[in-house]
Amino acid sequence: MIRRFDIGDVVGGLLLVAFGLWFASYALEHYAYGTTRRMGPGYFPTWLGFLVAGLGGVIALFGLFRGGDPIFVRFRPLLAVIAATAVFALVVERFGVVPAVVGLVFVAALGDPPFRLLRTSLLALVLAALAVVLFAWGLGVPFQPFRWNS
Amino acid sequence: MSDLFANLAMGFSVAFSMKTLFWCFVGVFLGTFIGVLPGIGPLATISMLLPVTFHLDATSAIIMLAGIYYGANYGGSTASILLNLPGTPSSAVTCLDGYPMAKQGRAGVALMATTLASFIGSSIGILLFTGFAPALAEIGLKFGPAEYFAMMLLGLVAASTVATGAPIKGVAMVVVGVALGLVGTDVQTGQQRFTFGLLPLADGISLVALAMGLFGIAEVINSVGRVAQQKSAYKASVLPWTRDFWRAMDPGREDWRRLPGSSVRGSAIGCFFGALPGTGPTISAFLAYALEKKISRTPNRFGRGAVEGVASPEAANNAAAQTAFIPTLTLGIPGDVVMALMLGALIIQGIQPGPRLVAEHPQLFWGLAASFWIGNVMLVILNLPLIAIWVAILRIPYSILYPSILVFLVIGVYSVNNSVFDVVTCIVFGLVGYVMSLMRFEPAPLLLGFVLGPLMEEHLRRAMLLARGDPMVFLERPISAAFVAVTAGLLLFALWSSLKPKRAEGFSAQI
Repeated sequence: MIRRFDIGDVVGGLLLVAFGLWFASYALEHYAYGTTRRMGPGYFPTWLGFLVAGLGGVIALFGLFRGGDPIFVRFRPLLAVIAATAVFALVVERFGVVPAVVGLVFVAALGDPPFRLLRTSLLALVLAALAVVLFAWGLGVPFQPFRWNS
Repeated sequence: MSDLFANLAMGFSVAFSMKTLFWCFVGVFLGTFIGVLPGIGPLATISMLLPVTFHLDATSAIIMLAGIYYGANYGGSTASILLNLPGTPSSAVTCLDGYPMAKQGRAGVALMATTLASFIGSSIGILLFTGFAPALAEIGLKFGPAEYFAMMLLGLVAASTVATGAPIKGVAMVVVGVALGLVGTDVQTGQQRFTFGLLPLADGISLVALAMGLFGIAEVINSVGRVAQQKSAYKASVLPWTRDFWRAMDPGREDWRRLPGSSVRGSAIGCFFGALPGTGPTISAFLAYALEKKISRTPNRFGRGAVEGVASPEAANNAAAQTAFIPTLTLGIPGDVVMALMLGALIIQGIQPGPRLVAEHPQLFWGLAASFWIGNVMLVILNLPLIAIWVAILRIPYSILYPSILVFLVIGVYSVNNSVFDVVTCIVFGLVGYVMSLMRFEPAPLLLGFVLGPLMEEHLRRAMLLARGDPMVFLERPISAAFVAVTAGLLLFALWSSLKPKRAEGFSAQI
C-alpha cells in the first residue's frame, strides 16, 4: 500500500522543527549570545537550532508531495526490549548484577514467542555467570554480583 | 626510508607483545564472529565493546576495535556466500556471484577467493596507510582553526549526503548530532548547557550510552522475530588437515589466472574511496564490482558465479577498511561512523587524534600499523582452515542470540561508571533510534555529528576570534575555500536529489 504522502518524512520533519525551535529558544533565553567575534555559549546552539528547524521544515514539505510507505510498529519486541533494559536499571543497584541479568533475560525472552522456560533459564544463568567472570574478574570492573540495599 | 623501517620495527615490537597479540586476536575473532552473523554488524559490536576498552591501555584498545572493523569484512563475505544474506552491508555485493558459486558446489572456492582477495586488499591498504599517513599529518600540522572547521564541515556533509538513502535527512541528523554533542559544560566559559540541573550530564551525554541506544537497542528491537534461521549451502564436515578440504577450495587454473588482476583493481578502488570522507567499504565494493563487470571480456558470466565478482569487491572493502584510518588518525576527521567511534574511544583515552598523533604517540600509531598485518594473517587462518567454526555459528537461533546481545550491551553501558543514569540514557536513545528507523532517518550521521560537534564549535569560535568576526575568512584562505566549495556542491546535490523521486536505498550506512 502506498500513501499519497510520505508520513515518515512529514512527521519526522515536524518533530525536527519542534526540536530545533525549542533548542534555539532555550539557548537564547538561558545562555549569553555574545558577538560573532567573541561567541558566547548561546551563539552556536541558537544557530544549530534554527538550522535543524529549517531542515525539518524542508523535509516535511517535500514529504507532502511524495508517496511513501506506511509505518508499522511492532509493539511486542519494542516493549519487551525496553522493559528488559528497564528491569536491569531498576534491579542492579538494589540486588546486584546477577539478579539484574536474570531479570533482563526473562523479560527480553517474552519478545519472541513461544516462551521456552528451560532454555531461557539456562541462558539467564550462563549469561549471568559470564557477566561476572568477564567483567568483574577479567576486566576488574567493581561489580557486586549480589547485594541487598532495600 | 630507513625511518620507516625503524618505525615499523618498533611497531612490531609493540604489536608482538603478549598483551597486544591477545587483544588483536580478540578483535579479529569477534569481528569475524559478528561479520558472519547477519543482523549484527561492526558498528553495534564496537559500541558494545567501547566500555571494555576503558579498562585497557589506549594501544590495546584501538588495536582491538580496529580488528573488529576489518575482521567483520572477512566474516561478512562468509554469510554472503553461504546464505545469500550479507553479514555486513559491505559484503552485500559479494552475494551476487558468491551465492551462485556456492549453489554450484564451489563454496570452498568462493571462500578461498574472498579470503585471498581480502588479504591482498588489506595488504595494499596497509602499505598506503604506513606510507601516506605520516605525510598527511605533516600537511595537517599547517592547518589553522578555519581549515579545521571547513574540513570537519566537509567531512560531516560528505558522510551524510553520499552514503545515505535520503541526503537531506542525513544532513538534518548530523545537525541534531552536533546539537546533542553540545550538552554539558562549555569549555570556554564553564557554563553548563542543556543539563537541566542533572549532575551526570555536566560531562555531556555518554558516547557509549548514545551509540548503544541508537545502534544496539534499536537494532535488537528491529530484528527480534525477523532474523530467520538459514540453511547453509556448505557442508563443513571435511576436516582441514585432509586433502579433500583443500581440493574443495582449489579454484582451478582458469580462476587462478583471474584472481590477481581483479584483486589489485579492487584494492585500488578501495584504497581511494576508503580514504575519502563519506565513502567507505560499502561503496567501494559496489564500484569495484561494477568496474570488474564493465572491463570483463565475458560480462555475461557475472551473476552466475564469476570469481572476479567476489574477489574484486572483497579486495575493495578490505582495502577501504584500512585506508579509512588515514584521515581519522592523522587529521582527526572520521570518514564514517565506525571511525567516529574509534575517534571517540581515543579521545576518552586522553589521546587527541590529529596531525600530532604520529609524533606524540608513535607506539600507538606504529603498533596499530603492525597489528594490521598480524591481524590479517590471523584472519586468513581463521577464515580458511577454521571455516567450520563459522558455519556452525550460523546455526545459533536468534532467540538465544538477542537476549545475550542485550545483556552484554546493558552491562557494558553500566560498567563504564557503574551508573544507572547511563543505562536510562541508553534506553531513551534506544527509543529515539527506533522511532528514527520507523521514519527512515539514519542514526549514523547523528553519531558522527555528536563526536565532531564540540570540536567544530571550538574551531569556529577560535577562527572567528582570529578573524575578528569576519566569516569571509573561510573563503579567503585557499585550503578552507576549497573545502567550503566542495561542501556547497554536495549540499546542492543533496537538495537536488531530494526533489527527485526516491532513489533505491542502496548504500545505506553500516549498522
